[in-house]
Amino acid sequence: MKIITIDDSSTMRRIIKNTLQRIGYGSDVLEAEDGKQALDILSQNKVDLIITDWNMPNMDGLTFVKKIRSMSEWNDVPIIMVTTEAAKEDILEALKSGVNNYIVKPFTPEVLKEKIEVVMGIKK
Amino acid sequence: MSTQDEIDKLLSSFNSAKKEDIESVLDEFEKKNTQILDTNLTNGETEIPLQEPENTEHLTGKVYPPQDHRVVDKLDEITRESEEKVNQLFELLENAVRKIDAMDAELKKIKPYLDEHKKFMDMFVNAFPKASVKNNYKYFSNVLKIFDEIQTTHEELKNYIFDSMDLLQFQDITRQKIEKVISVIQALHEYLNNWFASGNKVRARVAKTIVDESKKEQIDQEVDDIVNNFYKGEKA
Repeated sequence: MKIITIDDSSTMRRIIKNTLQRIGYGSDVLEAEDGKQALDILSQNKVDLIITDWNMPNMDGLTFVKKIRSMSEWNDVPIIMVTTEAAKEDILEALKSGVNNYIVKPFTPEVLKEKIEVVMGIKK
Repeated sequence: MSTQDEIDKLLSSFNSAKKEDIESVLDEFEKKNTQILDTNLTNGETEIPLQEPENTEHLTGKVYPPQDHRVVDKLDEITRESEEKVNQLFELLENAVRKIDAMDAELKKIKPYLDEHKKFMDMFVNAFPKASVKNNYKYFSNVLKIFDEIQTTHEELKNYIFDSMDLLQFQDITRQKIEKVISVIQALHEYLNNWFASGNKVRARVAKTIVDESKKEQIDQEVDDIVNNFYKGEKA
């Protein structure tokens, strides 16, 4: 499974990548610093799952999700948002924009694994 | 004459001069300069320039404070440095995991030989139930026990390292807390006429809520409920 992780924190990208390896999904992970860079990467790569932060410079996660969802080729790709935002209205806004599942930082490998399995249809 | 030669000559003449002569020359110099300064101040002819702090930059006609006083830039530097250090720490932890994995791989290579030897020893001790054989068997059983303990310890070590890696998420959360502080400072910045920082960096949207980690389990449950209710509502 090819995954892209988008976060302006290099530490978080590293943690997510490492966690993905530990839970068995880390064989092919791409990285982007923000939504803009992610769009560039996605214009040349097909991925099976997007894991994105919300608060990023240049293009934030929500704008990125809206952009992606407006493109026919990315309409169905599962998106998990991993962010510090924990307010109900923010979570709902993200879901309405096209996010499939939502994780509040800090997260555990178990939570990430569970959410991946839910959005990928491995776990109901 | 080269510059170094000139300096050497000056130094040598200074060193050979009498102490009283030097002091009188210095006194005269000081007296003369004080007089000039007093005259200029009285006549108001010369404006004495204010001493600018070191490293002060002139940008678009404004005088910015020295680098050390630029709060936002300093905070950015702190987050950048902490991110770098955490990444270095992460790399070391990854190296430690790799070493443990390499050791485990070696242990796994040895294990089949030990198991085979154990079978042989089981048979041997049954065929020759002498004290010396029994002692040897006991000794070998202990070796196997230690071997298993090492493998278990490796697993535990890896789990400790993985838990440490997970904890390093604090860096990103702390960084976002600092970003919140920066956003407040930037509001003040508008009023205080660019005193705090140059403000050129493109910033991330500031986090509205940052989780109280003591309530994390409850929050995770709430997130799950929101997500599930959202999709239930969509289906209905």
